[in-house]
Amino acid sequence: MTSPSLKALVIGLVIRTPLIPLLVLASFVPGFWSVGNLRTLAESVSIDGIVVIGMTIVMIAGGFDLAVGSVLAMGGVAAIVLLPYGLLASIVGSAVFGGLAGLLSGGFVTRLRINPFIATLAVMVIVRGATLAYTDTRPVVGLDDTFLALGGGYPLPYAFIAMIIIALLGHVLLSWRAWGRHVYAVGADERAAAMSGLAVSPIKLQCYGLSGLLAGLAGFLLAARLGTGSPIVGDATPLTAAAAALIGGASLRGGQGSIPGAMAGLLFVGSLVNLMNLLGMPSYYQRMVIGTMLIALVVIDGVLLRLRQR
Amino acid sequence: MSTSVKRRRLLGRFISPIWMVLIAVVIIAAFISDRFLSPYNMVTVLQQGVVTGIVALGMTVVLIGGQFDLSTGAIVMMAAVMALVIGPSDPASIALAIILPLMSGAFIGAVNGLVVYKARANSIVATIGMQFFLFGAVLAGVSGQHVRTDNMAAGFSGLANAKLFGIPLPVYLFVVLVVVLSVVMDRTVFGRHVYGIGGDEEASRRAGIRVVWTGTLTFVLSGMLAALSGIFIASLVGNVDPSAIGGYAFPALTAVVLGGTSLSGGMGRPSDTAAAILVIAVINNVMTILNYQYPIQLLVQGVVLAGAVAFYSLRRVELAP
Amino acid sequence: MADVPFIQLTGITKHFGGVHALKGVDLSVAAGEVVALVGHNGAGKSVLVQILSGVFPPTAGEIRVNGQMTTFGSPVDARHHGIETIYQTLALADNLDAPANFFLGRELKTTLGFLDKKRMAREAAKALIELNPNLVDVERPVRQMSGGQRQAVAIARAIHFDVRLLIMDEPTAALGPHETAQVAELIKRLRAQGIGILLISHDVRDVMQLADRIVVLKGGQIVGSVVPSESSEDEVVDMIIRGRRLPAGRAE
Repeated sequence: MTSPSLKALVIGLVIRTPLIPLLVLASFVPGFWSVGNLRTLAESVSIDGIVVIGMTIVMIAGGFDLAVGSVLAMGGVAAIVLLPYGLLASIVGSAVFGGLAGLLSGGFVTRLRINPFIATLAVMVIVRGATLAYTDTRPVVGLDDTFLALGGGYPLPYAFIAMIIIALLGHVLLSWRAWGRHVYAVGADERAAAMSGLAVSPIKLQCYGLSGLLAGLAGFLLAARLGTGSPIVGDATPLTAAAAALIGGASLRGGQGSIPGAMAGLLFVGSLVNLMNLLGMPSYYQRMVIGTMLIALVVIDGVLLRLRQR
Repeated sequence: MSTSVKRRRLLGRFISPIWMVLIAVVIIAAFISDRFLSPYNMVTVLQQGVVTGIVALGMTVVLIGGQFDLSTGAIVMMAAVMALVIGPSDPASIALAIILPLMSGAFIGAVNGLVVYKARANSIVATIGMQFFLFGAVLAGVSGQHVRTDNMAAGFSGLANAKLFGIPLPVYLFVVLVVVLSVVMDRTVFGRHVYGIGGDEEASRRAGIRVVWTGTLTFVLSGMLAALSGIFIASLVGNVDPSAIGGYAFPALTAVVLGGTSLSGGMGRPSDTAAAILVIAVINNVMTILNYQYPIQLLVQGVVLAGAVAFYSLRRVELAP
Repeated sequence: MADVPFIQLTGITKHFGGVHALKGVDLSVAAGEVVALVGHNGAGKSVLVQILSGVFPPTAGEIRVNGQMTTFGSPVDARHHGIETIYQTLALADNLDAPANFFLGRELKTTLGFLDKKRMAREAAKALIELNPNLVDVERPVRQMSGGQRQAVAIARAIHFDVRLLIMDEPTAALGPHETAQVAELIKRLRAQGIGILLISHDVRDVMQLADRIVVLKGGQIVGSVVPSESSEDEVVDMIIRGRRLPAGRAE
């Protein structure tokens, strides 16, 4: 069972993404391979990485989750607001709030049969509006030493370690457990999955719930790193997450993808952004690059579909 | 029985439920605040509605064809910035400040259309990607700064501010656009083909419809209308913070869906979108009067979108044979 | 003139990536001839239909219409030659009413260039009622119609526009016995009018009654062709299954 996943990772790294050429190129940029920068890279990919895991699972199940960015912001605010009740309340609270938002998306998709893009777009706006309203559009600040310590970690940031652990758990869940098989089956052909006796709606609901939960948790870690919970962060998060998942072999039509692949995709996107930062390019260029990349990826996704149909 | 069915159908042809909702919302608004019906406030409602409404009309046509255009918010922003950067100070530059954004909007729309219809990319993700690209590109172009023009000619600022019988010019233009688009969608071959593509793309292709051409045109139309809306914003306020005015795609989409355009395409009418735009403008206006700020308005819009989608999808399930 | 078939395919080959869907198929249909194309699912029947109706071009091979070499770049080209297709899935847009579907892709216009809805509704209604008097209310979305009514719309549309070759892909698959008999009746009528018909089916019993000639396809190749009066159902079924002619079978 290890070999296919290892293969997915290697394929993700070498074939699907020009990651190796990118890293070679990066060697010419002074400071890329420094310990400090690698730690920055690990830190910057870890928050998005936790979101990517949820997004990948939803995409394998044939859905999409545009709400992850605003759920991330809500998770961060919840983490700070709940901090006075203890660190555990803060962690559990941000995850639970995120999970509830995910279940709301999942409910729209499964119970009301709404197109997942539109359903999660609506949830995205609802969650964003609620978070902005609750905070009166201002960031909330939390100063607790243990909490702030969780946002650090040396040499490896705790958030990065958390991402690795969650990725492993997610991979085990997808590849080694029956549940994962069911997720792939639902994503590949919902009707066939239903006819072979799978409880399609609960499975999809669980995927969306998981995605929301992970986004909320990522919000907690971001808040711990920054010491603030900002209601406006995360507008690019769904795009970055989708790009990483697509590079990693996921498809907008479901049934495909893997967490190792998505992690490789994430590493590619993260390195690219990191390089642009090192080269002193303003953040709007990153938006241009991510936008272009996403268009290219969905075009490739469409072309791959046609090749498979023929 | 047959005549009553026929009468109902005839009635439904002209008055869809959303117009009833509009009337109800206006009555409720009038009860909530006596300020609502003041002429000044009505003009404000129309003015706010029209800017989003023009965007929504284009998105309606795209969605009738079965696709989404979520890049419109960025096109609005791009057009507004372009118009102000050109700096419409004399007749020649006024013309340029109108034509160049419109052409750019058409070009972006053509790219969107080809990516969606020729390359068969998912339109939601592709146009969100385009939205990001455009935001980045425009912000890079102006280095993230506010854009303003100090010597705007009266001719240009008059585009959005001049009034005829106390009503701003864009409102008239909006009405004209609704009528023209209604005729185009209902009475021309292009419109018929858009409905065909939205209903069944493969059947349309086999019936000899040029799907890529027709579909791409819907995106070109949407891009141009979004650009027009951006020109109005430039004319209205004379200065623009590029990082703050991207949020037009969402309210416009909410209106399109609230107006009953099917999310899977093939059904919908520009006039119903216009009614829905007014419903949203009234709701936002009342919330502003009652001092509920942007976050709550955003929240309400999300709920309205979800509610509208749920309502129509449940109704379709019932109507299905 | 008489011995040139209306349509003649020679060596038609189609690859999809590595999949060889058709391997050198020869087929012809003359005016007023009913040719049945039979074979299992995946034998290549649908691919051949789509090539003939201009949905996609063949990888190799020749298409002749009335002896003239031609290519179909799009469904419009095929229609131009009078080739009309009734697809198995009917290819109607569900959201439109019968007249709109009837004229989809070749709408009638007024002198000002607008849709002439009245004339389209009138002509479509006339053609539909001529074909099937049970179609009383044609101005409702096709979605609300029964399988037989939808079928009538698809057929009426196909035969209305000066058709020379009518391709029918599983025309009776979704129909009851009464409607099936109506379709058979229609085929005989069109044949008498000199229209060539290519009938795609997997129901051998059905086509034994109707066809002048039965062509068997298997694995993308023509196995053989028989005349029903000189053959039997068993022989044809045997050809479909075994992919070869019995000694008694007669080649074209």
